[in-house]
Amino acid sequence: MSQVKTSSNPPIKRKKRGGDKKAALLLLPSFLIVSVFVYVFITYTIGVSLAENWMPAKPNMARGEDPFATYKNLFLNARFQSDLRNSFIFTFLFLLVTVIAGFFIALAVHNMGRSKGFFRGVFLLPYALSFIVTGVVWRWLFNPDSGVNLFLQYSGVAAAYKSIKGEELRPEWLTSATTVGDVGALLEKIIPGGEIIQVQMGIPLALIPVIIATAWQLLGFAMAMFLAGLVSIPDELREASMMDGAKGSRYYRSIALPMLAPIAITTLVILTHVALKIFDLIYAMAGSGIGFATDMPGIFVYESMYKALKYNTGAAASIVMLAIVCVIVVPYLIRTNRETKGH
Amino acid sequence: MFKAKGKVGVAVFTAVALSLSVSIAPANASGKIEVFSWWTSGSEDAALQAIISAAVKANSGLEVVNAAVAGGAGTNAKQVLATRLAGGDVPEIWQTHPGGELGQYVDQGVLADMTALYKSEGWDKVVPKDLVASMTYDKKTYSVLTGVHRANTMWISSAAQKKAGVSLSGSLTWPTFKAAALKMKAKGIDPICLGDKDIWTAAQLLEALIVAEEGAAGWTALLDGSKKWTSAGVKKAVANFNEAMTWVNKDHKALDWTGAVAALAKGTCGVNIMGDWAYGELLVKQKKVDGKDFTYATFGDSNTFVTVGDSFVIGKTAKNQAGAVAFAKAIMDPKVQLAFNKLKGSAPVRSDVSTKTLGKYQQGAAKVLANGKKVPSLVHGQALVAAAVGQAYADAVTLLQANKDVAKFSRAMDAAIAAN
Amino acid sequence: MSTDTLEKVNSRAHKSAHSRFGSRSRRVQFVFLCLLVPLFTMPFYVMIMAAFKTPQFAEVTTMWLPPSPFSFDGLQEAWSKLSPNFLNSFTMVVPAVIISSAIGSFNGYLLSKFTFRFSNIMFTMMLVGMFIPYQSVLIPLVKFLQLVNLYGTIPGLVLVHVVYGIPITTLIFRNFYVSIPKEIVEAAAIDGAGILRTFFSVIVPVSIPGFVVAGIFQFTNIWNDFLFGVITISDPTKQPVTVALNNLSGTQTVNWNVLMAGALIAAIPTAMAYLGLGRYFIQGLTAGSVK
Repeated sequence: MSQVKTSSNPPIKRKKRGGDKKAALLLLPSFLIVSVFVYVFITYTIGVSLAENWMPAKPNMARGEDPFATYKNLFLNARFQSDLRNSFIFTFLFLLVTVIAGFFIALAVHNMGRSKGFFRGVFLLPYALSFIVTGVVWRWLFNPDSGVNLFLQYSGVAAAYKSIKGEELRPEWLTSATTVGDVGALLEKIIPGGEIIQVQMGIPLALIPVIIATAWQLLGFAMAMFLAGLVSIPDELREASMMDGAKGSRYYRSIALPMLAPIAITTLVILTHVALKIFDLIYAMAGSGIGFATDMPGIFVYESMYKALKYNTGAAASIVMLAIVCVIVVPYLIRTNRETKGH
Repeated sequence: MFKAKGKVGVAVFTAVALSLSVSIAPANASGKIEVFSWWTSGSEDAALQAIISAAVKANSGLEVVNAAVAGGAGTNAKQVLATRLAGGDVPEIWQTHPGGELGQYVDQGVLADMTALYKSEGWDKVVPKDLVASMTYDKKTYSVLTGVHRANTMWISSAAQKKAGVSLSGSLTWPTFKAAALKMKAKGIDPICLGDKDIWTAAQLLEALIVAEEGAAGWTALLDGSKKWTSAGVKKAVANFNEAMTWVNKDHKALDWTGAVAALAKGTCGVNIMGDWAYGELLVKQKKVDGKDFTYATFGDSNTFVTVGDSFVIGKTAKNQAGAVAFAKAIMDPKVQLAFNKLKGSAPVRSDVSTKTLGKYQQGAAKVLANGKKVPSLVHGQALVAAAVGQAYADAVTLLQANKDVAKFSRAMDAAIAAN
Repeated sequence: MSTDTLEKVNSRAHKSAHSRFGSRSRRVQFVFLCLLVPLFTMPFYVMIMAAFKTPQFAEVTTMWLPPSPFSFDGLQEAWSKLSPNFLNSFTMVVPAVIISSAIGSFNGYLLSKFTFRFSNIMFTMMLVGMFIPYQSVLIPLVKFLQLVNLYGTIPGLVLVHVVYGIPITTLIFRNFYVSIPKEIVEAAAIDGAGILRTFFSVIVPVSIPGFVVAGIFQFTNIWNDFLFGVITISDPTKQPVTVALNNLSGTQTVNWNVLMAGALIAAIPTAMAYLGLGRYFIQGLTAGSVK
């Protein structure tokens, strides 16, 4: 990674070490209170997940014969299997679309003149709306009979499609029961105990409109993050590369992008956090979908705990989600934190 | 360009609601009570306000805090209630469903016993015995009902019927319905309106079909586990359901239940199996006329009433017990029962309430409630089974829509009932 | 830095942008953005149309049609039901955003400019715990708030939002500060400044873009939060606006015109916050900070 040395003073080691210990102490209060709100509460939740008959007004943490039965039944549950599949696909595609589109839109907006504020506003405004209501609006928009499909007809695209393919162009969007692809057989071989998979391990087409809706709402935030990064690139760097006669694309590739890497990571982490916990938007927009095509772990936890009144199942589902995140996200975080600090 | 019509509509509505604010026998409870429900807007809220204003009028000094939370067909409210119960911040009055849900509150020991109140106020004589039984555990009664909705009503669009040349009424057998449905389909009308973005609407349709095939006794047996869900009646009902799903409007997954009722009102589809909260929707929002624009029938025996009761309980450890009792008394007052159900569209529970001023449909429903066979709705959490069984049923229907597999459905239901 | 210096810097940066990125690529980008605008505003069109319709007309099959008849009822009802709660939201959001951003920026500074043994572990632990669905920790949360006597109060809600906001604001600032050369910090240290003084005199002035995105994220997150608002406060008069907005839809019956109008009204403060904060997306604030 290229370093721009603008000072020739060597670091003063002694002062630094004393400062470092003080820094640790200054971080401690935040760390402690967050730990209480997170880890102490999670411990309580683990207790609930292992309990046999825990109820809000009768918090009985006593375990039954097989406290892990709740977890076993969870993985056997077709609905939870669908949730894991949906969460994975949704998160992956959502991140792909939002981060990449957000980046390119930020680049374009950054280069605008007086229209900068206007564009920034247009793309950021969706983020201001409540998820509950945007879910409803997008459900209307994706209605196969009265929503965006009408544009396909009016623009002539549907007619063209019909003349080429001979069949109607009427995307089903949320009403689709189709799942594209099925790697279930492959998974059965790789994952131990994979025979318990009851659902089609492919991409439910009903997830596509949901991804579009969420991307629409969060793209402005990704754009804002990258804009913040772009305006923070010191002028000296831009000027230096300009004097070197570098063209625009070279500037981006070798200077701007590496400097934006930490911001990209932040955006990724935050959007992953949003995607994994998505609830209101999908609940309002699609419910659980045909055959759980759009069901998400968040919805499952909500309904298990407060509708089915099975608190241990809901708690167990939350812990499983957290465990999966730990396994996937933690090594990534540790590695990138170490790398980005290499400055 | 903009008319004052809308404003007048709101004013009239408010005036009606206020004028229905009835006077009941004054009592003496005072102080603050908190009423916790999931009724927050439209006719639900107006109906709740009818009770609140009556209670406040009868008890000078009583202040009612309306702590309602909407969403999730009551699940949002249950979420809040669960945390409040866990934290010991118990409201005086809260809403629940008679059946398994009520049972789980009884298990937690948070409810006040109303048995004495039923005797002293004479409610045990005017409320149908089986309704009281659904709210009684271990010989103790724990809640009062504001009204009972019916879940297995088939609403029929008169325009669609006329266009297809059919006329459905009374108790319908499947062959009769099928013939009519095919006629509608031939005329380009979707026979069934369905808005199942929220799966309960489809689950309700299946429930009506199962009750039609199994009858009241069979349904009760299925719920208490004495009959398996692999029975012939269930198999037939599921087959009918799968067939019915080929007759629904194509955008059903993208519509909620009000969207389906709107389609019915327009006449683009033929029938809609929906609880009679659709009655208010048709009358007030869609401005349709009972008998002229829509009629009603039932799958199977029209004298079988699938109940969806709305009940309220008293928190045992809440601060203002006297105030809570006063509110319960207001709920059960005959005048309030009438006023409430006029706005809500359900049937009053007291047999001594005259239904003459209610809509034509409601009069019919009240008669069946009084004299017909009552069975609890599993979809709406009325059955005397754990709430988890209702959830399992909803999940099983979701899967059934995708895989049409009768055997899997039956297995899932048997397992759920056995496990709970 | 005074505003006109900022503007000079801004226009200088613009000129260099102009000269490097030929006007043709800018034109292409402009067209690209313009094509996206209708896609992004389409849902707003539907919402605004619905807000001015009568309940019967405000539904899915007529979503593209303009209101006929035009009706202010939706707005009126939405405003009357939402306005009592606006003050609650403000008193809750403003302190929560300021405090969590301030703490986050300080933590970000500590994590990016200092090396101490457990920094990576502490940071990762703070981040990971947020990934649990909040529905499952509601009950211990309520019990904790009762323990510290903050249950049912707006300060209690502020505390919840601050604590759950710290990991993300810390992340935002930490990854923002790693691009700031370490030499600046050390230069200040040589001058004799302690951690706090370095923070206020050196780091904060160049943190403006960081505060902007942290502010955008936190304001939106906290203002639009429903779950914590409805759980920690049971008194309807003290609840934030999102709870009232949620209640605009009845559990069984929904008047879409009221709900859409309400959603638009409830989004106005957040939109204003974006406008206010967006002014600070100015190029070159870090110029001249390194000699």
